Amino acid sequence: MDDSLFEELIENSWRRRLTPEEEVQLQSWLASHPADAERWEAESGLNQALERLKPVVPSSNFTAQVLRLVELELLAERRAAQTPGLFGRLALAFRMRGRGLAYAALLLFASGIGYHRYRENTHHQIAQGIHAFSTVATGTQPEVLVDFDTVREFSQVVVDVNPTDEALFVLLGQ
Amino acid sequence: MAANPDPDAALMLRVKEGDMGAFETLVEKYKVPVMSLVYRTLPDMIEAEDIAQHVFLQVLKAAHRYEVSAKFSTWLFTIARNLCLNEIRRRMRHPADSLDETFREGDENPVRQVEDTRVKGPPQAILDGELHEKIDEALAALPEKQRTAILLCRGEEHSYEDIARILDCSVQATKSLIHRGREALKEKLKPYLRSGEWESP
Repeated sequence: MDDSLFEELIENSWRRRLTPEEEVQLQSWLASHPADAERWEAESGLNQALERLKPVVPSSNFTAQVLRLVELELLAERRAAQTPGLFGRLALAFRMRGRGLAYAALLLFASGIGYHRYRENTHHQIAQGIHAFSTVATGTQPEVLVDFDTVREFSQVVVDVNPTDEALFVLLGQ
Repeated sequence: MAANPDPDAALMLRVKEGDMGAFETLVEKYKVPVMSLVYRTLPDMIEAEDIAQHVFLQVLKAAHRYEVSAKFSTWLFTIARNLCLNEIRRRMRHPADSLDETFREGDENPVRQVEDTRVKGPPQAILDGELHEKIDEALAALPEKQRTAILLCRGEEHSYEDIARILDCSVQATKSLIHRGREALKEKLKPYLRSGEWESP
């Protein structure tokens, strides 16, 4: 008999009482390996302790409670299947007494959409402004502005018409 | 499957067809083992019973998905363990008020009244009260997987393969869990095991 058989006997003892045949094998093993007697004693003691663990008995109406739970669950599922969604509820409210409530809900919904559009529009305008500013800010280099005043004054200079040129124009016209 | 040796699987197939009588039979048969496992994972009678009831509700709700690929009890205890783990996770996220707190401050009425099933008449309590308490304590101190493996290992209902399926690990890992759990129990219960107090049933 090798070690694996002793281990197998121990593993079997975890789940059930050993058969008479296994008992004989065990006794034979322990007779030739007295050092294992202590281990077997501890294993056997623990097996007995676990065997004495009491089953936990639920209340006497446990099964009835489970069936009641099942009934409630089915009822809840049926209700959920019958309950319409948001638009269904609105339509239902129109048909029933809560017409005012349904109008209020619609008004609120429309206001919500209007406000959303307004905010989107405002954001768009702000974005455009920022874009325009950033284009100017990045496109105009400081060097361009050095002679700005001089260039601006060109348009204000009164040009004297030279009489010689006038005569020349007349000649050319002829 | 040509021949079905598991009578509970046959009952479950009837449940799948809508047979509530078969469902009731299964509840009656398994209420104690399920309750025992749940209670030893979550040691509170009221909550354990609540969870055990939901285990059977879950069985019914999942009946349409049931396939006879393993023993019915393996499937059932997998559901039981998963619900226990969900409850443990929920408790970690939302720690609830303790059942030990029976009275609120300045309130004469108890928050909950729970029957302490461990309390018995004096003669019986002297005989076995302490021993059972010790083993329950030792089991409660084990990690969940080791405890579940040891509890399912008792009796011939579940093979090591079944337990491995329930715990979602290999057979070798299952045996290792049982071995380590038993070593821890032997260490904790050493004085009782040596004194032979377990000898008499």
